[in-house]
Formats: sequence, structure tokens, C-alpha cells
Amino acid sequence: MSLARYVAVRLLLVVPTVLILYTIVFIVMRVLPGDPVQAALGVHYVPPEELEELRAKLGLDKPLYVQYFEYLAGLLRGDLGESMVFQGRSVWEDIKDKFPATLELTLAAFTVSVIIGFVTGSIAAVKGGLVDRAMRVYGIIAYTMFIPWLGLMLIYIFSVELKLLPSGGRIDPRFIPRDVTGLYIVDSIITGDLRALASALEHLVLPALTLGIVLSGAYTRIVRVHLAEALRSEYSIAYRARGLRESKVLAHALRNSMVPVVTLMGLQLALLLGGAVLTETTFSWPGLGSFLVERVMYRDYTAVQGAVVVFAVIVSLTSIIVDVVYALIDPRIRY
Amino acid sequence: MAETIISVRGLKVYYYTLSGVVRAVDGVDLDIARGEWVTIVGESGSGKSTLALSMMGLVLPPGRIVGGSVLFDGVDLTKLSGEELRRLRGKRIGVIFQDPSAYLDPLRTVGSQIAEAVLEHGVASSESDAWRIAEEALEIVGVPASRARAYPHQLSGGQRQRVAIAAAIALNPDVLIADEPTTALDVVVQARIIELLKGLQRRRGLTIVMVTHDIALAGEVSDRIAVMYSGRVVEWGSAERVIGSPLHPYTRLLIDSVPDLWSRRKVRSIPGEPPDPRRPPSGCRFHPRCPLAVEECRSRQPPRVSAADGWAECFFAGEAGGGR
Repeated sequence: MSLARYVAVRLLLVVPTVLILYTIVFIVMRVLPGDPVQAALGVHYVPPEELEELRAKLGLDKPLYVQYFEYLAGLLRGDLGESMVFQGRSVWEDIKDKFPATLELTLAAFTVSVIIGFVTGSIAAVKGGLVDRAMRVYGIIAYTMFIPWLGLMLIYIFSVELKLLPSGGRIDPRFIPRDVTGLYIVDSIITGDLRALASALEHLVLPALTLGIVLSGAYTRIVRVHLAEALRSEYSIAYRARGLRESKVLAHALRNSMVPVVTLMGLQLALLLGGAVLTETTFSWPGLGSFLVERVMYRDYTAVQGAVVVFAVIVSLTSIIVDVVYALIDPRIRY
Repeated sequence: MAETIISVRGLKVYYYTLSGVVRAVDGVDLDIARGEWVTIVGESGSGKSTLALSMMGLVLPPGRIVGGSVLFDGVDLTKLSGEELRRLRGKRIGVIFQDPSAYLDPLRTVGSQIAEAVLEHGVASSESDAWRIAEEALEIVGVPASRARAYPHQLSGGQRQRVAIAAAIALNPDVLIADEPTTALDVVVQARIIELLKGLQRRRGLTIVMVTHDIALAGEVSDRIAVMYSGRVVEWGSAERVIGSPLHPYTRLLIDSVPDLWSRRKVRSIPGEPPDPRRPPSGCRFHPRCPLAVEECRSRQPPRVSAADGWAECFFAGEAGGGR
């Protein structure tokens, strides 16, 4: 099977994946106590007739299977529906608003984690001994670190004590750049808006560092294990026996240790794109993570269903990309 | 005898493992002449691979050369820096291993793996030049130059070993170390690889140091044979003499353990197990398994008894035929 055909099949499989996830979320949201009407009204007393009227307006009086298929029909037309709590707001528009913030944080944190992870993991594998042990300890500590705690520590040091960086938010509202892609950093570079760029960057540093450090622990350990194995492997011995410089042996070993690392990268990237809930809440970052948490609280059925569908599509696409990358790295992998 | 190219003196290579010190090579002397084919024969764990690889200064951790010297063309390899050794490896001494599938990088074309080493040693002036040398090397070992763009998994086992040989001889080294080069191959392919190596020895004056557990193969192809047991060379001499009239009882037993297609002679296995190299037996290391062993064998390291073309380390080696 050719790569193109493989990708086509995988793309088709996105449909059942999305369908299954939608079904699960639909059920779970209905099983949870409360509904959008109650959540919106809170503890205020409202006469039962009025509650029924509100529910009817949202279509919640219809049988469940009707609700299920009506929303599904919308999905097939590419319509994620309207929010059940914030009347008149399109779910798609809300997600589109939040996604660039999540994407920006994801890319920054991902880069930080991959750089730290590769550097520490490679040093551990090459040096061995005490250095190796130190890096492994770093890996465990980073991996098990609690994001809000690390975030607050960094805020305390860099925002409160040193007053170098802002403690939350995505940008100073006065400097929001003209909207092109929704990514503030990209937009401010495109429009040449240096004040916006500076503000976006200083807001991004702490959340990206917090999330990046925590994610780097897994890379440290996985890069270390697989690189050390590759450096001990027979082909590395053969390279050395042919008189290759150690730097070249290392380069080849790194490439050979990439396949399992790429798996982890794909998984993390996909997870992050669904919103880094803890990081976003710690730094009041207006991304998909905080959005989803908020809408679950409000039992905003349509918004949660829509967000999960979008998330499922993103995860599926990411894993297809990872599979394509495998084939690029390893000539033995053919689809 | 021609000029000596490799001279091993009192060599000791120990592996420092968690469960003790493994004396893989424990006091070995050998002189290998330019252009000859020397085969080191022994059971698994006898230290034969360690000995052969240390002839190119390649000792894998946790191993260390703890004593003696290896003179290659007059230069003591045990005194060279890592960088000096690197320049020697691949250029003047090549090596091939048992399992060519494991010793080739699965992610790169075979041509690029050969060409890279050529470039690294500064022999080629450009990448295309290095690639040309790689293709020539492949042609020499009987692999079509077009296969240079193939990945290892696209080749057969025999072709892979040919590629490994091409990589080892691309820079026209003086010595080729072949560590069980045919063990992983089937018999027919085995014969072709041996033929190829024989041809290289004759045409290019290549010195070959082969390691094998197959004494029949050793007798067929080698000029001289070193029989190793528990870290020591126990017998050394011309192939005809070692196979024809072995001096050491271990060599005798090794030869008897080879099945013979033509005679109905019963195959005899050597009783007992090879010794634990962390705790070699006292005296002659072979004494627990030796049919001739006497009290003296237990207590004293046997002397090196010279024969016309070599020697054996056995108290009985002076007697006709080592106790036939």
C-alpha cells in the first residue's frame, strides 16, 4: 500500500472516531447531574413552568435520541451549533477564538520541552555515570512536578520578586495586534508591531516554561534510554570500527532512537492542542483548556460536544502526521 | 616467514563486570605475518573475539587492556590515543562481524555507509568521489554497484555480509579481522563468502584474522591456527600440522567433535563445560575436562612446548601426537 493510500484510509477512519467520541460525550454530559438551564440560573428560584419553557427553547424537552441525531445532522453539515448557555454565540466561533491561544502556548511549550529533553537526555546517554544519574533525577522531578505549583513559584520569582514578567494573560490589551492568524506573535511580526511582539513574548515566557519543563521530563528519560541503546548497538560499534568520529556516530544513533521519541512527541502535541487546562488556569491563559472547563461547569452541552469533536479531529490528524514522519525516518516502515 | 604485521605480547584483556572480573584474554603471545590467514578457534567464551578485536584496539566496555602490548606494523596500539586509533581503524585495519544485519545501520543506504567512512579518512576528495569508491568496493565483493542505493533490509543475508566486507576493504587496509563472518549464514552462502575472502587475501595481499568455533573451516582456509581455551592460546601452528597432528588434547577433542559426512566415525563431544572465566581452574585450565590430566596439571601452568612450526601449552605436548 502506498503512503498516499494509507493516509486516505486513515483520514476516512477519522469519521468513526469522531462519531464514537461524540456519542460518549453526549451520554456523559446527560448523565452528569444538572443541565444548562439549572447551571445558568444557579440557586435562584424559578417556577417550574418557566424552567420547562427555557428547556423547550433549547430543545431539551425532546427525546434524547432526537437531540442526539439533530446535533449529529448539524455536525455532518459542519455546524457545531449554538451555545446553550451564552445565547446566540456560535460554538465554532468560540473555539476559533480560543484555539490560537492554545496553539501559541502549545508550540512554545512543546519547543521548550523538546529542547530541554533532548539536551538532557543526550548528555545523560553520552556521559553516563554521575551526569547520567543527575539527568535521570531531573527527568523524574520534572515529570512529576505539579504544574500549578511550578507556575506559582515562577510567578513568585519572576513577577512578584523580580518584577520582570507579567503573572498572567496573553498580552497587554492595549497592544493586541491586527488579527491575521490569531497567533499574536506571528501577527505582530507580520504587521511589524514591535510593542505587540514584546508584550506577547513576555506573557508567553512563564506559561511556556512551566509547561515545557514539566513535559521535558518524559523526553529526558525516553531520549536517554533509546540513545544509550543505539550508542551501544552493533551498528554503532561498526561505525567506530570503520574509524568514524564519535560526533558522527552520535548523529546516526540519534536518528535511530527517534522512532519511539516521535511517538511521544505526537501524543503530547495532540494532548496539548486540546488545551493545557492546568497551565491555562494558572496563568489565566484564554485557551481551549479554560474554555472546556468553563463550559463543562455550565453543562453547555453543545459547546462541550463541539469542542470534543474538534479535539478528536486534531488528535487524529496529529497521529496521521506522526505515522508519515515514521516512514520518513525509517525506510523499513512502509504502508 | 614474511614480515610480521601484528605482534601480540603478553596481552591481557579483562572485563570488569558486576559479578566479577572476566579474564577474557589472559596472557597471549602471537605473531601474524603480512598476507597470511590466521584463524583463532575456540568455544564460546574462550576470548577469541576479544583477542581478535583487541588487535585493532577495539575493546568494548566494560573491558580493558590490563597488560601486554599489540604491535601493529611496529606501533603499540595499547599506547595510542583514541583519535590515533580512529585514524587507523577502517583505513589500515578493517573488521566484519558475525551478524551483518545488526552491524549495518538500518536507516541508511549501504552505499552511504561505505562512502561516509571513505570521506572520514580523507581518502576521497568529494562526496561523489567517495560514492564512486564505495561502488567499486561493492563491485569487488560481487554486489552490483546499483545496490549502493539499497537499504540493508532490502538485501539478502549473504549480500549484507558482502556489503560489510566492502565497507571493511573499501580503503584497502592491510588487515581484515573477521569475527565469525559466516556463522549467521547458510552453508552455500558461507562457502561463497569464504571464497571471496580467500580471493581478497590472494589478490590484494590482505592479512586475515578470522575468529570461528568451526575448526574444520579453520583447517580448510587458514595458513595458521591459534586454538584458544579460557583466555589462553593453548596451541599455535600451521593449519596442516594443527589439524593433522594436534599437540594439545583440547585441539584433538575439538577435531574429534566435528561430524564427518564420509566416515561413520562416532562424533565425540568434549565432556564438561567451559570454565567460568571469572574463576579459571588452577594450573592448566583444561585439566577438569582433560582425559590425560595428572596431578601436575592441577597445580602448575604447563610450559610452552615448541614444535617445528609453533607450540602447545601442555605437559604431554612433547610426546608423540599429544596423547593419541
